[in-house]
Amino acid sequence: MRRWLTSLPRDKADILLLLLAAAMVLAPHARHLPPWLSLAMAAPLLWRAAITVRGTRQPRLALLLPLALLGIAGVHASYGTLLGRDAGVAMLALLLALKSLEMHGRRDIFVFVFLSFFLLLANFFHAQGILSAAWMLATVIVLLAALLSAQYGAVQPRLWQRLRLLGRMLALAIPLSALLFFVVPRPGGPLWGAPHEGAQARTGLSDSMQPGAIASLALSGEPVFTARFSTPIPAQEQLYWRGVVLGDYDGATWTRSGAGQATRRGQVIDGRIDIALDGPPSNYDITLQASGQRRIFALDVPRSIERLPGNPYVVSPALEVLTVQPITSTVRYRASSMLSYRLQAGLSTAQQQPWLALPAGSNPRSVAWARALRGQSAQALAPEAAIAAVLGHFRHAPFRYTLQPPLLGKDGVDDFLFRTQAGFCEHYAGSFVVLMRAMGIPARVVTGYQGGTRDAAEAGAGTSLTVRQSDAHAWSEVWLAGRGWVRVDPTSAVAPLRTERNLDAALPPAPAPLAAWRALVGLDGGAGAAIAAWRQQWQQAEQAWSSWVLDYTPQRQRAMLDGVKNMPAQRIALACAVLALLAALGGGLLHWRQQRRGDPLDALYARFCRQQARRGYSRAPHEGPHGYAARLAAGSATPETHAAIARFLAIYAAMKYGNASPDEQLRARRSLRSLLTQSR
Amino acid sequence: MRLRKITWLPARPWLGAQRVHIRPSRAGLAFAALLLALWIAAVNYHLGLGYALTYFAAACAIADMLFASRNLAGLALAAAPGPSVFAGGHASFSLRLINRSPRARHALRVEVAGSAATPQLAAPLADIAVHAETTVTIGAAAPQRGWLAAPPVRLSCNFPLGLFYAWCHWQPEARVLVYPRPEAAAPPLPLPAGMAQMASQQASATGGTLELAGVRAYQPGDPLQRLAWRQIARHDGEHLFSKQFQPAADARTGAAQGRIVLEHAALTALPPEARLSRLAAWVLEAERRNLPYGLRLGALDLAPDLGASHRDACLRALALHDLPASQAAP
Repeated sequence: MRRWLTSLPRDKADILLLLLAAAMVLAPHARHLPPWLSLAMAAPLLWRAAITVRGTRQPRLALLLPLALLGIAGVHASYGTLLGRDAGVAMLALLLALKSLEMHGRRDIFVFVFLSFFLLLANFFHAQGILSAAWMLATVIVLLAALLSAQYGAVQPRLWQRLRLLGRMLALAIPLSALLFFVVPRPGGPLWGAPHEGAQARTGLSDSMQPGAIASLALSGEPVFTARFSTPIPAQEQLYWRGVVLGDYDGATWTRSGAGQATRRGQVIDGRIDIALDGPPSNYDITLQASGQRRIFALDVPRSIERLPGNPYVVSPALEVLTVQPITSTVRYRASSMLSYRLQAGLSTAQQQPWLALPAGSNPRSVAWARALRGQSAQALAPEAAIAAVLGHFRHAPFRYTLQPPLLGKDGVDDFLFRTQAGFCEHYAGSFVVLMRAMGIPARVVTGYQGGTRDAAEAGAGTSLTVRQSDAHAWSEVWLAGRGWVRVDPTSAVAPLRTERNLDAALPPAPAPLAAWRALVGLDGGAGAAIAAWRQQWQQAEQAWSSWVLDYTPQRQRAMLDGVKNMPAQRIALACAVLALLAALGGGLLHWRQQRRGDPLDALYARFCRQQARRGYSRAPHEGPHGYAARLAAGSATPETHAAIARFLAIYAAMKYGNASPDEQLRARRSLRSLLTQSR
Repeated sequence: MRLRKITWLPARPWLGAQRVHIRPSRAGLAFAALLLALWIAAVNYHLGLGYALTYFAAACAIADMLFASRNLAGLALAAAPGPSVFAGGHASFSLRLINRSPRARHALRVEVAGSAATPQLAAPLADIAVHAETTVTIGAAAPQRGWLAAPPVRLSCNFPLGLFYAWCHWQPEARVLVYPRPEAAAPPLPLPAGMAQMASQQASATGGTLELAGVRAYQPGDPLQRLAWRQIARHDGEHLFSKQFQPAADARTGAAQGRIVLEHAALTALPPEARLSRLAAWVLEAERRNLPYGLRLGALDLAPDLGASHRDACLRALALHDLPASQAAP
């Protein structure tokens, strides 16, 4: 295979490299495109590869054009449109695949490579993890290698030599791109329009919860609101900013109870919510950023909220606060909340019913497991004990907290509880509520924000909090007779730091850097420990990745640059000194290498002369290789050494004064090197 | 791309980095547009990795810029003239591109600004291995006699990624001597007076040393006694014809001992350049027919002789005859 590849004519090898790059670009897209389109992409690439290897003619335009039109029709049939993000990506992918059949000159190669770059970016609509980045890097390297190969003239070096040149370019490009990434200012929002897809989840909580909805919010560091407290700020684990209450579950998606039903809202406005409050209130001012949504936030549970001018709000029975008009500019309101409360302690059985509904037949394993856990009516666990048992299960089974959970199947809760056991707050809250309902305990999901960052820099430190999209959270409420709705946060059973501190601290602390290696070689624990350690390490890396690469927002950028600006002078001086030292070292190394690397042939000859001088036959300055050879031949040495010396000088003279091709020179240098050791 | 006339070109044999210019190629401009599109997509969709890809691609382009200029910078240049040519032909020059650095140079293009009539000649791409050199031959039209300096040359490359075009101008220091254009269908050699007389006498009597080779149209300078009166009369009486002779086979040895002297002063009827053309044609003809010939050109008097070096000396004298001092200097 290798011989076949190296003996391939150059233009064919170039095309095959380009096709490999295209395949690498398109491979991740195949997961998100309709299956027929994936096949339609693979076919032209394979076809072109066959054409290239066999050396037959490329298909004519008269054949390609109908194929392209067919493809466009197919995209339209699959997506219902040709515009928009996903259809556009599908079109581009199709175009790239078909372009491979219509490549003739160098110009086409540029078009092909540029198109590939765009598709590479389109890939990030779906995945931006570490693995995607690694795949991107590998793909770009293959793409650039293909582009580079097309630029050579008559002589094209071997692939490894081309890659070495590319490596030298990347050694320059990678630090430069890192610098650009962190330093080039970024605009805050979309340049024009709001992209339809993806934007909704970023601008705020939505009225439904599907796996992934909050995880994507958590990747955005946009501030949602700032709260300035006039009373002491409650403890971090009590900062639950209530948003939306989700009660309807269809097996995959949680939605607001009776969302869109005017009747229910009408009842609310008339009816009173049964709520008992005690303890000291928390008073605060909230500055809420424009979200385009009809939602204002308050700490659990709000006692009073100042009316917004011209934009009245209503409170739903689940204590959601909804304005009548969408909030389109920054608003400020004063609110007061009670942290200890009793909400709707006396619900009638009929009123409990909506919070007990589960879609029939979905998640059978979870439902069965929950029923078994609670037991039959005689030995049934008390609700409190059942809750404790489920939380205990979350705590003790190997559940883990991750922003990039694996995909779940049709029975999402079953999959999550018994297969993947990895997820984000919404997975824990959603499955907890399913388990509660299966046990006959009324329960619901609440989404909102949890925690916030104390703004230490402000005057009167410690009186205000900034809550960002990354603080988005989902928890659950269960209804217990006599106590009303009680907040239960199952996420904190798995990742207590998520609620005690914030998202960045949610993952378990990093094990010592060597722990994973130690575990692997069996120093502590067995294979299981090693896997766990690796998994933790990976989570840590994912976390750092998402905070430094994905969530590197303009705000963060400004904060980092300010941090650099405000660094103490001593530290800046130290950093400069270290940089200068490194630069000097680098320069010195370069200089030394240049000194050393003259003509390699001359360097070998110099080594030879030094070697012979040690034997007592130093070369006279006027002596050429032939004269020197004659003198050395007369000297004393074993016959083998004599032969080696004569051969060395003969080859040297032939290379130095002859007219050898670079390849011959390379071979000659190799044999000179081996002769050098023999002629000692 | 038209190469402008550049008069200030230094003829330094070493390409400093400051002499290498660089600009984006057409593909590079397209790449810039691509970068902008990638960046906008990254902004609009908040793609952290999109930014990373955009900046990475931009950094690769910057690296490409550096490597493209490094591909040219530091080359040592030398030029050698090709053989002399006759006016109206193509002169050639050998350009030696010498790489003294431990990195190979690839895909260098050597472009020449030809004369207005000929399109510029694009040499194929040249590669130079590590510590090696490459010779590129360029051609230039040689319209007139005298010294022909090598045309200014543009060395350029798109290597390594093709996004940038690096180039530099070079005036190779080499020149080729252009001989006068030999007159096409020149009259026969002016044979020495004795030989010619003998020929005319014997031609009528025995057909001895010179025999009639044919008749052709009269050309200025043909001796009157060779007019072919019979053909003139038989034609329309307006066009003149003259007879042509060539030495008979047995007369050749005798003629070889004769000494032909080509005299510039004798051709008074012709304009100056035409005289040189005719003399050049005669030099070639004499050389071809192995007749020793001398040349008298103004103050210069070359003794009759034969052989390539003699021929070259004669042609050189013709090429440089009466040229302005600046051009005639050796």
